[in-house]
Amino acid sequence: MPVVMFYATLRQLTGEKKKIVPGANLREILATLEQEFPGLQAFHGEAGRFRTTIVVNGTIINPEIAMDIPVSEADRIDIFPPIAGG
Amino acid sequence: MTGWNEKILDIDLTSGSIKTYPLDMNMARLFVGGRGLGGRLLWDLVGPGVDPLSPDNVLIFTNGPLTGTAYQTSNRFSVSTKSPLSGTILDANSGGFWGMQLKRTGYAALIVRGRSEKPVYIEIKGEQASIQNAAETWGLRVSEVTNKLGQDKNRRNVLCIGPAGEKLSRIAAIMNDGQRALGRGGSGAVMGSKNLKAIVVEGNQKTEISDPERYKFMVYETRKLLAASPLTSQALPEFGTAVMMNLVNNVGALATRNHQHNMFEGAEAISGETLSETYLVKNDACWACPIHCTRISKTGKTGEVEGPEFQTAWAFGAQCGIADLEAIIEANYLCNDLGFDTISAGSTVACAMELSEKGLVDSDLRFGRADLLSSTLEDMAYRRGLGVDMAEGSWRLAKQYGAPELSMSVKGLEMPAYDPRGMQGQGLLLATSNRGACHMRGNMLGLEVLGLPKLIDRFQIQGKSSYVILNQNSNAAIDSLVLCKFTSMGVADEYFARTLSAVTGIQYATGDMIKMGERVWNLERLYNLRAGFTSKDDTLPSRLLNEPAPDGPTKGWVVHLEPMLKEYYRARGWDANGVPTPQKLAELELKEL
Repeated sequence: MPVVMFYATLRQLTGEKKKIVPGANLREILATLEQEFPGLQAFHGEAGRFRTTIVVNGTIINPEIAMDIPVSEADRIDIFPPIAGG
Repeated sequence: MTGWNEKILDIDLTSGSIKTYPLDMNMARLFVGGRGLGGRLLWDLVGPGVDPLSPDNVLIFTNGPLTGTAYQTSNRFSVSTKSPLSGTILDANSGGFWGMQLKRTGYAALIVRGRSEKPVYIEIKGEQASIQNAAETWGLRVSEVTNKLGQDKNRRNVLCIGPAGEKLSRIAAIMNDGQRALGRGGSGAVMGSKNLKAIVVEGNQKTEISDPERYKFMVYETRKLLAASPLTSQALPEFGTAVMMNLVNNVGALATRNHQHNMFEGAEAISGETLSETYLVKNDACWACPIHCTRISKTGKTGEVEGPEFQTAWAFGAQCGIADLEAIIEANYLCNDLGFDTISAGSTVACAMELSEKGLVDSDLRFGRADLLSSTLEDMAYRRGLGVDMAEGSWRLAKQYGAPELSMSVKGLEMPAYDPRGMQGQGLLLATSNRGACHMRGNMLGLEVLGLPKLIDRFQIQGKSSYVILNQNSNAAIDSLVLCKFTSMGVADEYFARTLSAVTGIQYATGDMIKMGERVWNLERLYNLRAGFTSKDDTLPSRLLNEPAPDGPTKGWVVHLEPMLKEYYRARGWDANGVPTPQKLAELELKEL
């Protein structure tokens, strides 16, 4: 099972910095997390204005086309809520 | 026309003359305010042969038609001058209260020229300006002079330089309201060269608005949008800008140890999340800003102080190999009090660290030596020991010791936190930035990392130029309004155009805003070409063009600048040498330049 890392307000929502989450692909991982943390879905936001950023082993994932990529125990998934800065 | 103050205050410190004259309203219509108006005035006042630290250079402080209206973030102001660090056109803008107060005095711009024989400060009370003796404040640090000259919330506001500006450090900032900075490019040294310690403003004029009902509606709509965006209502207020640290690091684009690496093992320790858990006392805001991104931090040595921002935490953190947040907060405070640009100061320290590690400089500085930060900054401000050379910025420092390639700068201005080997578009943006490497002239972070408004491949080369150009033009427009760029994370350009129309009575469409930004960009380009810059200066440090990134997901990449640059010149409507064509200048109403 891959390790999921949380950042910013997601740490407040989940109460954790990291968690091992069952799931064979990103879609399943997010579904599991949304079940456990009902507020998570709200962070996904609205394409074009703000949204969650998902990074798998350093690769930024485009949620419109890559939610079904397989993930395994060796993978690290970073989930950032909508953030900004410069 | 409403919105603008239609007068310019012009003070010559050599002769002591104080004049006022009307603002050219056609110029105001075309360049609006802030960066645009300041740049256009500078074109006429400071020619290509002028030494930036001579009496012939000028400082032009500008506001805009929205400034002081209470529209969200309408607190900002700008300074334009010829940079002593890069030799390019320079503008820097800052928030806080001083800009709003300058607007209340009734002036659209304050021009300061010449050089006083003795240290002086300028006081503007309403429309009355005077030149005062600064013998009692010369030599003082920023916090001391700000208090001594009577900083009083939003009633009387102080802008000044610290010891770094007095000693003509080319990376000195001008500070306002205590801990806000007109940071980049060395404007503090220009002020120091004029023997000008401070400018104090007090005013009570209100900005006249053409269509108050429409304006009120825009304020209402903007408030709703900023409250609805999690970027401006959650991420920035709760974690500040340093919340970007982990993300930029995890994708392998966080410049580390003077760009020798592109990932920092201590990123979490210097992140916005860690700051919130440890030293953060509360957040704060500039005048008329609902976002509240300012950090108020506290350590045993500093008491409650502002910062650090993402770029500062990076400059003294990852770039110096330091994972000690307490030391970074203290370095940030010291920079503010001495009057340094934190990005350039941190990056110059990092450059000195690499020079020392390579045996090119005899010093104890090494990556990770947090214990030396404070004494090094003091030495830079007062020009002691190696600080004599470090006060000149990283490019002159590295050149002095025979290794100019170790300065991570473009046109002499130190680079921001991003390692462009992991963000190709950011590389093009930094290489073409008119004031040298700067992420505030446009930033590809949204498109290449955050997916805003859409995610594009950060390693893609072809097609990047059009995104970079749009970013640069849009930012030039926001800088000319003058607003905070964070508003654009909740509000589209269309809202800025509608608000500007409501305030001025001139109908600006969204396309007019972008065209105005393009006009400003081309004006700045012409200024630099006239000063002797060429397409050869649109480049990056050789490390980023030739040494593959060593770490993580960016491993193996260099910046492929050449093809992007060719595409960029074409898309800008410039010739192959990066010179705007006559057709482009005519299209932008810049024919007379």
